[in-house]
Amino acid sequence: MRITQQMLHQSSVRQMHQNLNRFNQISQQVSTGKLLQRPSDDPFGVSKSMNLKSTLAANEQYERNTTNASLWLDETDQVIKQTVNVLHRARELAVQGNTGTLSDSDRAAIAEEVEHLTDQIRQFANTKVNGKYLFNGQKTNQPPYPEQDSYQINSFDTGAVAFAVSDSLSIKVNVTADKLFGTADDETNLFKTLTNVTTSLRSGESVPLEEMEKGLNRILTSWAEVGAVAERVESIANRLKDSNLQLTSMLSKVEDVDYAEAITKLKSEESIYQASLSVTSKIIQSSLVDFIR
Amino acid sequence: MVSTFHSLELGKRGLFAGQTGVTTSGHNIANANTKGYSRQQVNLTTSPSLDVWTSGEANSGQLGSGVSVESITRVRDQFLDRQYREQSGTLGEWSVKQDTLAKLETIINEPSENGLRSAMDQFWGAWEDLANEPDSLPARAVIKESAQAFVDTAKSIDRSMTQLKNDLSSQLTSRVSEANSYLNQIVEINKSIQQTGKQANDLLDQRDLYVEELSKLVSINVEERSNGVLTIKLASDDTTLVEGTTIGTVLESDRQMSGGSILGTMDSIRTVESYQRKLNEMVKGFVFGDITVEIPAGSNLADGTPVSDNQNSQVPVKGINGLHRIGWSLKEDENGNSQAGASLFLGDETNFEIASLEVNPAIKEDSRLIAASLRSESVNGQQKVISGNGDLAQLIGKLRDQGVTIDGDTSNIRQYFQSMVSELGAETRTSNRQMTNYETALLATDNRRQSVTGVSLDEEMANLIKYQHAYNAAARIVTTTDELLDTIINRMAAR
Repeated sequence: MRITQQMLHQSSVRQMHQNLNRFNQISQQVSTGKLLQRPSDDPFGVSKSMNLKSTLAANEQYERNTTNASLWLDETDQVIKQTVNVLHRARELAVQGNTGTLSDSDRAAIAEEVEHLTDQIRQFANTKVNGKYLFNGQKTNQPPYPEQDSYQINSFDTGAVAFAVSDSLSIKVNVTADKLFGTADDETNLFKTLTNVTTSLRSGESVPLEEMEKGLNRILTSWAEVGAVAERVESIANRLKDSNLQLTSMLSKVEDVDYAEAITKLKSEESIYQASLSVTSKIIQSSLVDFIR
Repeated sequence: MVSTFHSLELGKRGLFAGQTGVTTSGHNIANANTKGYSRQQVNLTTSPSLDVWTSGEANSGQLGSGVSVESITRVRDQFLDRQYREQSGTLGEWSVKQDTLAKLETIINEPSENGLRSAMDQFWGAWEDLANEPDSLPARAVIKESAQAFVDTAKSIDRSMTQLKNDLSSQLTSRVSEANSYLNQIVEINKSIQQTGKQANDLLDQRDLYVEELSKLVSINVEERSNGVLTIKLASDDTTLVEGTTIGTVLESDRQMSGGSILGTMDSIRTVESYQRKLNEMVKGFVFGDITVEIPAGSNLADGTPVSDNQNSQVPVKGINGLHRIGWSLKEDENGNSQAGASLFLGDETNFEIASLEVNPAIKEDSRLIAASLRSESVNGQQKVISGNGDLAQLIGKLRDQGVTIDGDTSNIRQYFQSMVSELGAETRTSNRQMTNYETALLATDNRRQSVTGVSLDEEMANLIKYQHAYNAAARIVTTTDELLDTIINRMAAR
């Protein structure tokens, strides 16, 4: 084949261009650390990476939600614990009040203390965390028992406060007043029974204990449920953390550069480019003109 | 017996041939880098010989009378030319397509942390944050901003696509007028060639160059007539564009043509339009598409749609706008009643265009119009929102993974966008590969053509020396003849 200077020139330039282009591509990968710069780099990989990123974003949201849910449950747990302690004391007093050897003034003193405890329980029922009432369902901006005798009407809301913890699951974290203290027409309503205790103490009648026991049992059951939900949230949170880790490593496999490989490639592309430069400099210099004098 | 001066004439012819050779080599060297130039060569022939008497044979002998320049021709292979024209048309087509797709990739801007995907993810996330704190104003402000960011991102993509489309349209016009101007130039050269004859090498080169440029723009068939002029027809439908010295049909940009960058530009406009339409349908589905949502038991909807108190109800709504309108906002009207959620986005549902989409200005002004709750109650004759209910916010947050009617089909927005991006990626990849292939093929053809028509400096230098020596030798013939004449005239006469 007849070779002309122009052909040599053209193909040298083209090859240098190609080599520089590959060198540029690989150095871009090394400097950004990302394999995928644009969709055409790997159409399937890009769609996978977008999907993983969205899933990760959703997961991070769910993780935040579980944190919120845990906070809510912890607060609920604390308040119920304190309420139960107060109720135990109230029961002790009620049992003591049934002892026949008490004087009227003793009974009055006990009634006084029970009344005090009742008030304390109402305060617990009206607990506010982060500006929200814990036990008033979705009406978090109002106390469930605004007045001392509010227990006589169902003044509270029973709506659910729930947090989404996965794309198909949301967990109800709140306990409403009816589950803890009982509804208005329920004989075992804690406020009702405690009021009964004080009235019977004052009037010298025997103090009713049975309803109180039942009420205490109800609140203990609810407490246990809170614990169970908290445990469930905890395990979901752990699972989310695991799956986050997994997703991140999958994402990294799809879009991150393997540095050892990339740098080796970069070095080889660099030397190829330099070789093409040095070859070109030799080829395009000389022609017969240089030798005819 | 021939004339005494015969050798002088012969020497002169040799000198002339040598000089023509040197000049042609010089012309070749000077034009080594001229675009479209094909090397020229001097075709020498012996000039007619003279009959002279010879004793050996009955017939007379033939005495050479030297050399004459028969022609100066360009070295060119018509077959390779045709191949080159075809391939450069295909390359022209694909390089426009590839360029457009690469631009689209830049416009779509994925994968990245500031593209549409991330804007949508942030938008969904903002709603879930509101679901966690349904009465929070800061969470509403975040929703407002992320809705704005989504609209801005979609609009900027849409705008860039429109811009790209307009650029391509004006490119199409200018390419068509470029083609027409080549046709005119070819006609002009045809005229000159008709006058100067078929051996007008430099004019032929020039014309071939124009034909090549034309074939990059549109696929053509070229025929050379016996008088040296060209006939050019459109490859797609045989319309005559140039017939010798007259223009046949003038090209228009709305004409269907095959091959070349004009077709590439037309195809590219269609590609951009199709992606723009997809994006448009996606955003339309997002704002107005049909969705069915599960309303939790015990809700009451702001638009009065009846729902069951005891079990979850399936309620169909029109997109995120329709969903938002069934919720209760924090804003109260003049009578103290809580208002329903306002439309989040304003846009024309029937003739939907991203360009005219915006976040509802009322919401931008007062984020309390953002609804999160699906419950309200009657308090002293006034309908009041239950602000601790975040069911609506949760439903909107879940749209992330829910099917929406987009362009007649039900699909989820995230996946719709992903498949759009990967389709673009695959298409770009194909066009990249096609372009590399055609480029390589064209380069190979060009190399073969260069091998035939290109100027080799080495060769020209060798020729130069060859002709120089021939010239010198011819000069020596003149000198020798001169000496012979000197002998006859001076020496013989002086005696």
